[in-house]
Amino acid sequence: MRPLVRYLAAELISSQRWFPPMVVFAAVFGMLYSTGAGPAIPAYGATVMLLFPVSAWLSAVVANSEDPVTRMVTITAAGGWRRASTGVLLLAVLCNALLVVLSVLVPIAVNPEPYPLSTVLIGLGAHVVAVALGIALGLLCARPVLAGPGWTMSALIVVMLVAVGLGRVPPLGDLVGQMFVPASPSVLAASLAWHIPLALAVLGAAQVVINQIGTRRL
Amino acid sequence: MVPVIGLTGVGKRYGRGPWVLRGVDLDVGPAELVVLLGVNGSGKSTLMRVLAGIVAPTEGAVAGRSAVGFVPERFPAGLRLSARDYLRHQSAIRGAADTGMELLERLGFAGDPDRPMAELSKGNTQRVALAQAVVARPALLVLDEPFAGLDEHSRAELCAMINTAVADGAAAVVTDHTGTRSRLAATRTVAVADGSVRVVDTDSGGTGAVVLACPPDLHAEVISLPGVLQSSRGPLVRLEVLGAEVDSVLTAALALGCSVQEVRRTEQPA
Repeated sequence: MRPLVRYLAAELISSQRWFPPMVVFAAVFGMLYSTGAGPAIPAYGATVMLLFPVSAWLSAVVANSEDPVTRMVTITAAGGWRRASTGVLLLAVLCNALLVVLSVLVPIAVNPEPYPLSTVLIGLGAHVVAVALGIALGLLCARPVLAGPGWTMSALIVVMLVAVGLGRVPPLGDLVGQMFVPASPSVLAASLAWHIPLALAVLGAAQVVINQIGTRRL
Repeated sequence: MVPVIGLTGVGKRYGRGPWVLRGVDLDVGPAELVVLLGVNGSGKSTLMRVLAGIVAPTEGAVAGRSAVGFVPERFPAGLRLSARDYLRHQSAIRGAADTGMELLERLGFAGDPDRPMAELSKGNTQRVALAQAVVARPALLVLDEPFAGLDEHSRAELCAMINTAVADGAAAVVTDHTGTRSRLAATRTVAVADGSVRVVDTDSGGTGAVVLACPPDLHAEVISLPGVLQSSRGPLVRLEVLGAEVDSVLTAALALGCSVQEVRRTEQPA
């Protein structure tokens, strides 16, 4: 599996398609923290909200980067669609892990006030929820489920608008709402205790759907 | 004999579209080389993808899953990785120690292996596509138009590679529009027509190359005439026809309103 992820990463880097979502992330992230983001947990809430669309976009880029015909070749080399799609998932997880690490650690480095461990762990957990849901959405909006970057971007934008319209509802909106208040660490911890498994379950279900569709569509 | 790959009653359709394949039975055993013929739109490429394990059939069963070397019908031209990097990665995914560069050289690769593949000629891109398929010595080779874009020297070299792999026990399924397949040590020739397959005997009667000038709306009718094995379409319609059917195809084509430009027997009966 490691050579497969390495190949997909090399292909992604050479394509430069990772650049737009990363620029958007860097720009918004920089704006949030350049003027001092205020209390730690609401600031984390803002980057959780940022990371959901960025991780969806980045994951869709990861899935769509390889040409569909060379993807067929990669599937035969990997020994089947399931293995190839697992490689895509792992690369999406790696890319997004980088975003999570940046989002959680950079504020600690730039803010003068201390970050208690509980705050850092809550921040980490909330960002994991955002990227797990983002990866699930991004992979579901990319090939082989939706063919063509036009469809991918339209679907992502529609889902984002719906998510904004729904407001503070699970699996993410209610969590961000609690962070903006901010609720006490114990309340947030209790909330994360079911948000994290739920988000990971959504990601797992998405991968099952992608595997089902993949072998039928290609 | 346990087949390397066995298809039983395989059918394939995309979504609610028409059936591309229906009721396909095909076993390919070790040391067997099957040449697959079929006109445009006969479901040949879909069958190749099913054989390579890229798509699951909508109905029927596929038995036997082994390492597959696959060459797609048209390898894309725009790759930004270099040939060297692409081959290194692909053989690493297959767990092979070989980097494929020697194979590439044997196939007559003439480009810069360290520049992006987008800068390579069609022939050199095809050589990279071939090298990745054979580098790990897979048990099954599925080669869709492997000779396309190659010069004479490279075609001969590729024929030798395929024949050697099959002699060493690999199974191979090959499609070809270039006529190079006559130099392959094929054990069977199979035609795909109307989504199903049947064995054809091109040895006893040979085949004929027929070139016709046809009104465009007659193209579909001409390529579905009995005995037509392959077709390619440019300004003229080029057909490959079973030897015994050449006369009847010509008669039917003339009756439809086509004009015969050229007829040639490509393989004389022994």
